[in-house]
Amino acid sequence: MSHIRPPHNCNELMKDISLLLDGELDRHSENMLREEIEKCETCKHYFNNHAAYKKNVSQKVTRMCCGENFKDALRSKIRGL
Amino acid sequence: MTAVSTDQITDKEQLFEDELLPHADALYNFAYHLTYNEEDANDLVQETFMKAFRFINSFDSGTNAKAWLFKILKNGFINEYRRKKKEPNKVDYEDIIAYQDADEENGGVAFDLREDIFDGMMGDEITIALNRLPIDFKTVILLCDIEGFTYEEIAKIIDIPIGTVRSRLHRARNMLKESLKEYAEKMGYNKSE
Repeated sequence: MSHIRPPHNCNELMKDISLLLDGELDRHSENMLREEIEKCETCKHYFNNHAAYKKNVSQKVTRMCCGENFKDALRSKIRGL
Repeated sequence: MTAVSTDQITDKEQLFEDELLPHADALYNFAYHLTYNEEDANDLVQETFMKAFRFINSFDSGTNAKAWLFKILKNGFINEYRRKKKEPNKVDYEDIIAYQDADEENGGVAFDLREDIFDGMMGDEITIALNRLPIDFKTVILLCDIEGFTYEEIAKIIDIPIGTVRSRLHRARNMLKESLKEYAEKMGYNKSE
């Protein structure tokens, strides 16, 4: 994202909102983008919805664990190598 | 000679214990979502750790062990599991290119999904929708949205350019959102529409 402030373009900013929420922007770009989002209801709406997507997917998708027995079996196997 | 050899093995085991094994649950979760089968996930994770231990001398302590293990697992999945299963759900890359072209034409507007639609959804519904995605799309969502890898790490894990990570992630999220929206409409969660 360029540090020179271009004219507000919702479609372009929506692409950058994904970068922002994925932690891919530097501090300066992030601050500039947040200012732009605050000025525009369309961008704010997209930001809120995409943030909700990120939060729900990361929190609600079922997480599977292998368990301690599996780890113990792995430890035994590598000792046998 | 024997004492030196034993010490080397102990060091390797310690490195394995300290830096690799803590990622076992995350690897298992990734493997499970790739294979959608507990037994296959077990085999895949076990193979991954065996390979990692065999090549542990090539791993620099303190570097990104998690990304290294995920790359080994992904390669193992592609090279062995996928071949056995005759490559299920392989992505049609022309579809990605066509999507990117269309995306550029319409100004990159992303598919939107209101926050309240998620309120009525349980994790199982989102998990099922995620697991229905073609494997390459599901993979980027798992790596980014579930495991929190950076684009650069994802690019290295799955051997694609960062620009492709970004576009594939965009496409994958839209596919998942579409699927969830259809589900929400069918179940009546999407009441205002």
